[in-house]
Amino acid sequence: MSIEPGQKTDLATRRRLWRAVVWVVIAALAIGGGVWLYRLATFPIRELATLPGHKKAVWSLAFSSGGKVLASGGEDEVIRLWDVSTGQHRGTLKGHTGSVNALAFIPAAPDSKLLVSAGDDRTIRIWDVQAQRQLSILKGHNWPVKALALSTLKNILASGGGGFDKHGRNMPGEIILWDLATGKECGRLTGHEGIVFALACARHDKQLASGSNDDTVRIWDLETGRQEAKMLRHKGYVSALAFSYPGDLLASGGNDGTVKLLWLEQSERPGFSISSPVTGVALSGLHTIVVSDADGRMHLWDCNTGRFRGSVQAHDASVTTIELSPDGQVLASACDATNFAGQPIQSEIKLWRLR
Amino acid sequence: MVRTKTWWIAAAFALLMGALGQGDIAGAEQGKERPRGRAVMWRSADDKQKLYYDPLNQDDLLIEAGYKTEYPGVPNVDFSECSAQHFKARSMADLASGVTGASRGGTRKFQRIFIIGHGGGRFRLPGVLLWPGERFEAASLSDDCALRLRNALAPGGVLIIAACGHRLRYPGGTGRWDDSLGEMATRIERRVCASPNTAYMSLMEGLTCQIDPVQNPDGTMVLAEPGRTP
Repeated sequence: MSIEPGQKTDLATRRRLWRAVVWVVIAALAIGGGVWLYRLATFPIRELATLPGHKKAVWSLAFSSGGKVLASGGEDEVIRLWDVSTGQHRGTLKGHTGSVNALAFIPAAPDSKLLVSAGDDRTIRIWDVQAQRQLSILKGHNWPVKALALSTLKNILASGGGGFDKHGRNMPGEIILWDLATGKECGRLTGHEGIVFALACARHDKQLASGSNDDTVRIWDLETGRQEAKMLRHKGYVSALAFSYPGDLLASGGNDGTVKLLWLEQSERPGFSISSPVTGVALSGLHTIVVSDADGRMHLWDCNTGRFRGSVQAHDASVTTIELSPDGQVLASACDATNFAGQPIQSEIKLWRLR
Repeated sequence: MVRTKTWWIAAAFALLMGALGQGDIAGAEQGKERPRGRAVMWRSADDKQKLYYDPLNQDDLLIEAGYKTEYPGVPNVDFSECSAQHFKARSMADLASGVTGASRGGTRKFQRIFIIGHGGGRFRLPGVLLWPGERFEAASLSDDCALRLRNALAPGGVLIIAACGHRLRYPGGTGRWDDSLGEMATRIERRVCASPNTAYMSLMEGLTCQIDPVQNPDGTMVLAEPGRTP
């Protein structure tokens, strides 16, 4: 069988065509792979470690001032201490008789020796972390305590909480100021019409922000105890608040899935919106805001430009809270003990490296 | 010749089976009529859960939220053999168009419309996850979708949210949870009910609420009527 000259040309053309197709596919794969590698290398968040141990949902996290120790508390009524660098469990603090809702290290104490905790048992407890023992109890709240904030320069601790009547309706929220030197109550801030879920103190320590189940964010002058501003900012309860360093920018997250930004000396900035309730907000310097949600995800934006930087599925259950280390490099996130399908799962804490 | 014979046998067998099937359906229709569209309180033998609603029947519409079948680790509930009309909805638009299609533009009325899916955890008001980022709840319910649901439900009908609720665990309080259900009922202008805690649904048993000594001691659902919170 002989091959005609025309058939030869056809075969050569086909070969050339196939070669071109193969090269196009290789080039597309190379470009796609390169983009994927680039995005992987520049992705703003990377998982470091998982810390299992809590038997129920984790509600609160706090880093020591040096960022070496992480404290976590939750529905199992205990506080666990973790070594951030190794992920090792360092100890357990027992004493609360209700869910541990808020934690804060006292930075002024040497080597972050002192930890403050607040819970559903309406108490605030101060712990010696090194000796792993309780030092004192602050009593004064009539309802579960949900939030804590520290003003280190003024040595004042602010605690907030509240409750419901028998019909599940809001009772007036409570904010109490405590003198840390004496352990005595030194003021009460009244005005919120619902549970105070979030408190944040600006680093210059003049102002306290509070967020509540009455959907408002309020700014208080810590020296006079006067309410400076009341902002009806969300269409659901305010679940999280964060001040940036040095305290010019306030971010608030709501159960309505919105994050609002407010420059205290200037004006409100366009915020962000996600498709599920916001459960935590953290500000890294003036640049990055991290927002956690009820779908187990964390989202990152650039505050200055408003550019979306990325999103990660952090947990298989709702993220309950997030906390940033003082140097802004390590982020801790915690989750519920029930997944989206209503099945019980092991609650966990995860550590992340922020870029 | 052999092939023709085989065809005749197959046709006769099919006719026989069809007649038997028809007889079954006719028998069911002539039998004792089951209560439809109202709550039936039965406690299960192990006393841990209560059958709240009858199994699905031909007066019902079942909407399967897309999240249900795709969620990893969760056994898929197969409703393909369901006697009620059923369709999958992954968005509010899917849901609205599916309801209109099933009710033939509102000319056919259902006694009960079930929306089955996942509640989505304790931070959520009553509703169902349709798909990550899409949820059926009072805040996301569009006017158009509310109107279509109203047209598809008989005046005494009820919309049943067959998903786990977290009424007592909702941080905003039970008052807000109930208000949200009431808002949905008001907007649809029909009764709406949701489980305050863990709920299951199966083809054979219908909807079941778990009896929980704290969250739901009676194993009942929360019912909201238009203009009124529970």
